[in-house]
Parts: sequence; C-alpha cells; structure tokens
Amino acid sequence: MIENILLGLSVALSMKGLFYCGLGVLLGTVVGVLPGLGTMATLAMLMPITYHIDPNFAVIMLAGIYYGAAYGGSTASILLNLPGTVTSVVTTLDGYPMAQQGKAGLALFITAIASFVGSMIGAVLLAVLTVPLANIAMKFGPQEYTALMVFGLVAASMLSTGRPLKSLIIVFVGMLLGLVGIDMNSGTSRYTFNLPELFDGLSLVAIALGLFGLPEIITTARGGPEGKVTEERITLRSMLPSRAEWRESAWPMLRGTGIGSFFGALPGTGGMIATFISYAVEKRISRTPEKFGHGAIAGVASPEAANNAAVQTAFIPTMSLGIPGDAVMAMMLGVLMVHGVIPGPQVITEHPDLFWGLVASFVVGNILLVGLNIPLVGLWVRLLKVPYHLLYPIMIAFVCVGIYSVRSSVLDIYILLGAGIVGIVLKLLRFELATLLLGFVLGPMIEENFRRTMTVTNGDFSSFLDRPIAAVFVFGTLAIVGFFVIRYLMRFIMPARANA
Amino acid sequence: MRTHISQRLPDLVGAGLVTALGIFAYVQGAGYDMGTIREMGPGYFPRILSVGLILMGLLYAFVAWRAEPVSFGEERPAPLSVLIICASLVVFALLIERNGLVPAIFFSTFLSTFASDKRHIPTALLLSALTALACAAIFVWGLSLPFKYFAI
Repeated sequence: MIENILLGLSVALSMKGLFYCGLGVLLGTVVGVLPGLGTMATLAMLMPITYHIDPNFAVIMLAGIYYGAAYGGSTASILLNLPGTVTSVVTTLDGYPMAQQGKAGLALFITAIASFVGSMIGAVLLAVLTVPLANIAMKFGPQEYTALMVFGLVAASMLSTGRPLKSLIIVFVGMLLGLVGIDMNSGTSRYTFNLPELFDGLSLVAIALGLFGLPEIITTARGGPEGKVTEERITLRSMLPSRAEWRESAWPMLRGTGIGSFFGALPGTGGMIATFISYAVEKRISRTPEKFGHGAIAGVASPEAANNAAVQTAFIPTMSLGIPGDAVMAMMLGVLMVHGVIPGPQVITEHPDLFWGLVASFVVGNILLVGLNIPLVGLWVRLLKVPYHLLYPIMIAFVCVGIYSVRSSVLDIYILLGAGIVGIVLKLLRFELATLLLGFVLGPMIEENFRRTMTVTNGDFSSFLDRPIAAVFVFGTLAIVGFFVIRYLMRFIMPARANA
Repeated sequence: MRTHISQRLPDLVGAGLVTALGIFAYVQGAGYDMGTIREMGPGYFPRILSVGLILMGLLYAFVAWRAEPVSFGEERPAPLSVLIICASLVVFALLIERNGLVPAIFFSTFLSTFASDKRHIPTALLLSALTALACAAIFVWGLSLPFKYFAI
C-alpha cells in the first residue's frame, strides 16, 4: 500500500503530472464557471487535447477537468443563481440567497471546503475499495461481464431523470452506433457505407462533442444565460466562517460525503441525484428546516460535498471492473482505449502508475483547486461577465481543430455536425442523451462477451444462472425492469388510483 | 382526434423516428451473416438491436398515445444560428486539408460570428485572426501535431 501511494505521488508530483493536473483543474474551473456550458460539454470540448499526451497524464488531466468543472459550476450558482453544471443546481437554492445577504464570500468558502472534504474522502474510498473489487473481478468470466454490463445499462436508463423507456431506447441507439466499423471476430464491415474512415468505428469525441457541446455552444450564440453579478468585492476576511458557522456545516459536509460516495459508485446514478438527496436529507433532519431556501449553510455544504465525493467514487467501478457508470466515465474509458489501455480489473496491476497516479492526482488537484478558488474568486467573478458573442466563435474553432487533431479525418467534422443536429432534435423531443455514450462504449463490450459466453457454453443460457455472481446481476436486471413494467401496468389497470 | 395527436406530437414523432431507425438498421444489417447461437456471426447482435429498437418504438407510440399531453423541449437554439454554425463547420472541413490550419480557422470563425445578433465586422475579423493564431500555437507548437499552417 505504502509503495503504491509513493508510486502515485511520484507520478502526480512529477513536473508533467503537476502541469497537466493544474492545467486540467484550471481549464475545468474556467469552463465550468461559464453558465450554459455543462460538465459534459466542458469535458468533450477539452477531451481532444488529452489524446496527444501520455495516457497517465491524459487521465489525470481529464479527471482534473471533471472535478474542476464541478468546482467551477458552484461559483456561478452562488453568484448568479445560474448553475454552471447540473450538479450545482441544488447549490443555487441556498447559495444565491446567501450571496444576496452579502455572504457570497462565506458561501464560496464553504463550497470550497465542502468540495475538498468530499473529494478527499472519496479519493480515500477509491484507493481502499478498488483493489479488492478488482481482485474479485479477476475471477469474472464472460458471463459475469455480460450480466454486469447489461445490469449497468438497464440501471442507468431506469434510474436516470428521464422516462425509463426513452432512456432505454437511447441506450440501444448508442449500442447501434457502437457497432459501426469492422467486426473484430469476422472482419465484416458493419454500417460503414464503404467509407474507409469508418472502419475503426465512429469517433467517440465527435459524438460526445456533437451531442453535448455543439447544441450548448449554439444556444449561447444568442447571448448566454443572463444574471446579475454582485458588484461588491469579496474579501478574504468576509470568506472566513465564524465558529458557529463551522459547527453548522461540519456534519452536513460529512453526511453529504457519505451520500455522494454511495451514489457515485452505483452505476447510472452519480452526482446529480446525490446532490438532490443530500439536500433533502439535510432539510428533513435540520432543526431549522424553515431556513432552507433562505441561505442555510447546510444547504450549500452538504450537496457540494456529495457532488464532489460522487465524482471520485464514480471511478471505483470504472477502474476496478472497467465498466463506466455514467457518460463521463464512458468518455474516460474511451480515452484510455485510444491509448491502448484495455479497461478491466487488470488495469491496476498492469498499469499501477496510471491508477495510483490518478488517485494521488486527486489529492494534488483538490489542493490546487482550493488554492485557485479562494484567492482568485475575484477573477472568476469577472469571467462571468465575459461577452458570450466573443466566446462562442473561439469555442467553435477549438472544437473543430480538436476533433480534426484526433484522427486527421475530415469525416469526423461531418460526424460532429450530424451528431449536433441529432442532439438538438433529440432535446426537442425530450430525450435524455447521457445514456447514449454509455451504450456506445458498453455495446461492443457486451456483444463480445455475449458471443464468447455462447461459444464457451454451446449456446446454453443456463450458465448465466449457474454462476452466482452473474445470477445476481441477471435477477437485479429483471427486478428493475419488472418494477417499472408492473408500475406501468398498475396505472394501466387502475388509472383512477394513479391520479389520486 | 386531431388535437389528441397534436398534443402528443413530440412523443409520436420520437416513436416514429425510433421505429424508422430500427427498420433502417435491420435492412442495412440484413446482409450480415447471422450465424447460430453457438457461433454468432457479425449479423446477430445488429439484428437483436434493430428488432429491439422497432419493438420499443412501437411500444413508445402505444404508451404515448395513452399518456398525458407533452410539449416540445424548451432548449431550442435559434434556427439561423444553427444554420450558420453548421455552415462554418463545413467551411472548416472544406478548407483544412487543402488550405491548412490558419485559413480554415480564420474563415470558419469569421462565419460563425454571424450566428450572434451582435455583429461587428472589424471585431469579428480581429477575433478570427487571433483565434487562428492561438489554435495554431496550441495544437501545432504546443502539442506538436503535424498540421500544415498554410497551403495554397
């Protein structure tokens, strides 16, 4: 354990490690602060850069962008009442009232500390839980993988914010897009329309950027979301909480961390749900629930801790099993695969520098973030006033060059364009897009493991039930699907009761 | 009847698109070897997915028909902005191979500034030039990618 931590620190504290970690959190904060550009858009936009650096540092930088954006998002929530990211929606509920009462500095400080506490505990959980989980996963055969991945996809689509059937449809669309390219086993080209550029499959970056980045950038072209920035200067003195305020926020931070860690590690749930639940919990158990919504410190501390803990623990299934729990982790895996790192339990043993470097970089990155956020808050406030009509053309150019730089393929620009239009149309039709990337990355993996299972067992499905771990996931999947089918049928048979 | 359809239009259009995509994927994938359950060919999985999409599309239409009215999503960028940005992406794609990085970024950025309602040509020209130089610096010099700056 000690030598692993030392190994991780040697990667994270090397010149390059510090540079890419710092660059990641800085860029993440800058783009995360801008309202109108969510975490997904931020990550997708900056992802092409990470294709050109060493995988160890690519993951460090991408992770830095991710939690940097989570940090930055709350700044906009507090100062503008406009959440920079979906995970900071809850922060507006009490953060903005605090800012209106002249306590913006305090709210930002509590946010930074809560995020730091959540991240650190999340990182410890990641370091402690991943290795044992990977050891269990080492014994997994294709049956377990197939069952686990199907469970992950079903859970992600059923537990997401949209309607279950629509999310499942989107998962299928993602899997279908994942099939494009040459089939590894037979050499048949599928859905390539004889375009040689498609033989390696569709580009993950182009799709992610098209679906998440482009629509948001286009929307900001006609003036981004407007809000009033507080004019008063935020001094360091105004930021420091009093002893009572410390006491008021300490437990909420820890409770938030617990809730966030749990939901972050579950497939398909993640930060947003964790923030809502932790807010609801604090309000329920608070002795002064009437203060919530009018600037309760606990209402800022707990969701922020939850959000950041979830960011860290989301890496647990990704790094130990090679199975992403949400769209962000799907992108993370996509980057690893581009660098030739095959996701799975062997990653920790085969690339210990990658995993432990990442864990150590969480510590380094979060210290850097506290350093960035507390003294430089004035800078972020000014950033909120950047005119959008000067910003979006730069982003468009950056997106184009970024996409083109990945494979030097002009076709990828057209795929970006197509994915952007699809993204706009699907949003109009109220589809949730996050599960598409999950299906895109997991689809080919499910196909491969399912095919292998059928070859090994001579087409016998009972092997899914003979093996206990696989059986648990099969029954889990059936239980989730069954629950929603029964719920729908109940409404169908007894519409009166559903309305009551 | 007509109001019943129009009130559920987003869902019905969505269901129609999903079903159509499923049929398209099935027809396209019809030529791939299906194989057997023991030795699955490249056509097995595409067929599962496309049949799944068709069935879910039909189910979605059925569910939507009985469900409450829905409205289209709130987030809609202005159509003109969408068109201009798409055009600027096409400009980039057309110029990058033949003319190099700097002209491609310059012209696509310049075009994309028209998607805003605050247009100011001199500012746009300056912004495009700076963006082109900055991107060239980041990607060619910073990340040392083999791009051409200029080509005629």
